[in-house]
Amino acid sequence: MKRLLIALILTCIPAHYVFSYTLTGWFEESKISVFGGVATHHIEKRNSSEDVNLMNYLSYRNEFYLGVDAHVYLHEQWQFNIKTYLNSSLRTDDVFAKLIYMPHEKIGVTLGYASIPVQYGLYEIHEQPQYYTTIPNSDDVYDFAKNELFLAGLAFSFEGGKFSGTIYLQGGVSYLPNDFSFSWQKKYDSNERRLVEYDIPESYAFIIQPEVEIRWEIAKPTTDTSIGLQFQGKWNYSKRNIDYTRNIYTWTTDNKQTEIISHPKQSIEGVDWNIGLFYIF
Amino acid sequence: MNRIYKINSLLIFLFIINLIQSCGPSMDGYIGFDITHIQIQNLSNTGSDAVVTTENTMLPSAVAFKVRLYEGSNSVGLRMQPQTNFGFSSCVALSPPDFYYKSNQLIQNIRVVTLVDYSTSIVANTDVSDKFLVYPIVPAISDFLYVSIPKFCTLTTDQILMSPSIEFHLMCKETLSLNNAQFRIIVELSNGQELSVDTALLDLVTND
Repeated sequence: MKRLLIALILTCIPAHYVFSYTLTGWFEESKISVFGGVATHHIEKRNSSEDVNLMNYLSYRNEFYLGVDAHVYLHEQWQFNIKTYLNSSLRTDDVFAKLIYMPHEKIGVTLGYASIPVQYGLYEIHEQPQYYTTIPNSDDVYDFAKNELFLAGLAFSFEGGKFSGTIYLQGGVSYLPNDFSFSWQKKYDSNERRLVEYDIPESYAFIIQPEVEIRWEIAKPTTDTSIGLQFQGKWNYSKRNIDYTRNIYTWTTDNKQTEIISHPKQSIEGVDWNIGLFYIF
Repeated sequence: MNRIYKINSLLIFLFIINLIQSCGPSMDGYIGFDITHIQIQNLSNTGSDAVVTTENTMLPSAVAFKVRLYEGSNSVGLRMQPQTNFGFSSCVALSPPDFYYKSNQLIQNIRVVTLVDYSTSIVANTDVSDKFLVYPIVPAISDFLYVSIPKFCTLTTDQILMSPSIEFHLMCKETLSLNNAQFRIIVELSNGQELSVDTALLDLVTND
């Protein structure tokens, strides 16, 4: 916990320094917030045939996190937001960035990018009945990848008394990079050995992601600064499948069987919310 | 300045003629050995890895043997062949020094002949080499899968070995249907010599 707080402070102090001192004049206003929240993803699981359905073994980290968010209000109605989460492994693998243009006081357009870690359960994918399975060159039971989101949408800001906030309606493309994994398999009570390869090409899926941010101003220490509570929440939904090529070499490398496996699309639903403190300066 | 130049020139010359050896053996040296003997052991391959067993019982789907080809005399280690190299020697620090070996003979062929009926259609004294595959141990030239016997013979050519022997597992890729099995393993060497060894008469029993 102590290391976590130190990491947060070490992130916030230089951010504050950069935004408020070095680049004064570029920014009309800046906001830094620290928060804690929970991100969960539910992937529809489907009983598949004898062919492995990789969607059944794809998972996101569903866990509590601490986060830091920097939001800057630039000249000419432009805004920029960057956010990262510190997870239980003290890693900042999740990164979110957003560019907002507000030509109108209440309505604007956004371009967003997000990088979210995902993992494949290696042994669950490779293990087969009747075979001893070894996954060489792997020191983990998971194979890690980055799910990248490229988003665009609309932003609607609102304000009333001490409350203010923004609603984002975004959609775009969810990208999973290519991957490769192989295992050695030896059949029970037999001399048979085989090498099984999973060659996963990169894949894309459409995604929708509405977001909301609500701020409640508690105090104004000076005329230019304010402190308050903040709630951020988002929901996303996409349907995708992960096709792959499976090569099975039985006995020798000369005896190769190649199959291209495809399954119907399955839904992925994510909910992410957090509560924290903000400081506008 | 002139002295430094002369000393440097002398050192460079000494390195070029390879007079200064680094602190370790040259990696290019190896000890040649003759293949004169053959040894065979039964393997139990019911688990994840094949292990040597003294029992003469095997599963019909896991008939496997470990074969070792080696020189019978104990003088292999005394025959380090001196190597002369020109040019810089890389600096290595190995302790104790590693020795490398190379067979003086090539393996031309490996034949497997069944000494009892292999199946109802393959009778005793038939060559069943095509029913067997090789998993190389020394030299370790395959990560996991087997290689065919002809490919194994090719792959062992000019291999530098970590021990003065060639070792491999000989695995039957078929499930035998009869109750017994016995084989003669014949290794043909490049010097015209043939080494042969008979396996024990095996009882083939299922786990049921």
